[in-house]
Amino acid sequence: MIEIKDLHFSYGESEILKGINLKIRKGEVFGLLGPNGAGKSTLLLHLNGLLKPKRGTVIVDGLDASKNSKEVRRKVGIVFQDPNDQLFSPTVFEDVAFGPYNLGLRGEDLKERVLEALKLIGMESYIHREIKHLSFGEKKRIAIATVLAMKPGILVFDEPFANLDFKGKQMIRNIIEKLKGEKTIILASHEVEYLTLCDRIALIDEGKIVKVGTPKQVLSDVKLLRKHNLDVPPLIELFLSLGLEVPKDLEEAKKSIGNFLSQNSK
Amino acid sequence: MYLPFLLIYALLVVTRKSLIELAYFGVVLGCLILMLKPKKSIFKHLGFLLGFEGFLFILALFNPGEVILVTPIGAITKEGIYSFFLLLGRAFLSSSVVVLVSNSLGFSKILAEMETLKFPRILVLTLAFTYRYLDLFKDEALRMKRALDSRAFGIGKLEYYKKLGALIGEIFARAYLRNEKIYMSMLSRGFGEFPKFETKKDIIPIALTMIVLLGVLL
Repeated sequence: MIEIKDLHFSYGESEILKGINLKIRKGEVFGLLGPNGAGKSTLLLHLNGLLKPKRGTVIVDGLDASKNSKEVRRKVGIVFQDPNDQLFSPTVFEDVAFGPYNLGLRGEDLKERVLEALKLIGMESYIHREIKHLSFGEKKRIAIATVLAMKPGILVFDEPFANLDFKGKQMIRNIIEKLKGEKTIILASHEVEYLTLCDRIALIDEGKIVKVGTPKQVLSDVKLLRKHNLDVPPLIELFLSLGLEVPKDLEEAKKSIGNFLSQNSK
Repeated sequence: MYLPFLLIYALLVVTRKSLIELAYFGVVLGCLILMLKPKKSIFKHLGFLLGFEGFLFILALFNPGEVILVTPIGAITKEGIYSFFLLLGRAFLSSSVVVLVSNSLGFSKILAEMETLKFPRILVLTLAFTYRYLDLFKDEALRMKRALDSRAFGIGKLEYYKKLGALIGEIFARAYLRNEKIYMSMLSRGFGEFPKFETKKDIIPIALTMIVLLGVLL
């Protein structure tokens, strides 16, 4: 479990996080929704002690992240927004192996771990490819493998859907769906439609938590979302105006519309 | 290990004094091509290399000696032609063997060999990072220059070059910022030390090194 208490953080004079309080339960998919510059990425960097709070604490499984960063980093894996920041080795194998190597794995164990992580994202055939020859979408998926190879209990994704085409977004979504239930997943995004797969969502803006609730509770408040410069997809607005639950995916949307039509035709 | 072979081959090639000796090294290069079976695109690179180096040494054609052709820019001599092919042969053979091996094996394996040969780790890592980020750096610079060009109308050349200078500074500032993010990403994956690059034992480069040394001794 992650518990964030009264978290404050500043870059120089400008205060980015202004007293964040959050509890993220074990095994849940938690969404951080907010416009650009809301403080989402800064908050995520506190989760494994990469940034130290100015005030307040971040407790991960009973450990203070700022004081036990080494232990916490084994538990919390962060997938950065730009895969070029994450992938620094010449080949896929070397980059995916970097984390497990630092965990003490060597030889065949290390190779197995790398292959296992690549299999999870369906990219085992890329093991000897050079990173600079990969497309942006491929790099994004490999960036996920670099973290999965460390087998962390908590996975943090910073804008996982940013700059991807539809196919790329679906692939990342499928990977997250696959990991759901196995790990605690934290997703930071400003794309409302992709946060419907979360169990709970926190709306964050100007360094403060504005609202926390289920996707239905948060996304149904269209006025609030618009007030915080967030785009509400027409499909979600349609469902809300019909009084239906916000669907998690297209299949659920089809079922829901089907039920709605059959009930109303009677 | 190909790296010792490359070093020995290049060193011996650049110290040869006759075309016959270079021809021997040419045969070794041919054997290497047959063994490594490189991609076809490599021959395009080698062709470009040959043309470029040929252009570099063109002045050698006009060395003093027995004149065989007079051109508007000077007299081409017999000794000049010999020097030209000697220089071209040395440069082409020594550089093409590096291009051939690094393209066929991949840069990672070259780095791994450097590591095995106890090159300073900082040098190996710097090369690895440079190789990984050079394209990204180049792309970023190109994008920024395009952005500058698209809005740099109506300004004089001096002003343009001032802006270009500032842009170069900005590229380095961005590289520094990226550097910080990469370090964070490394820390979040438990950065303690870098994995060692692993090498496999290979008989081909050892055999080739022996052939090269034997040829020189004979």
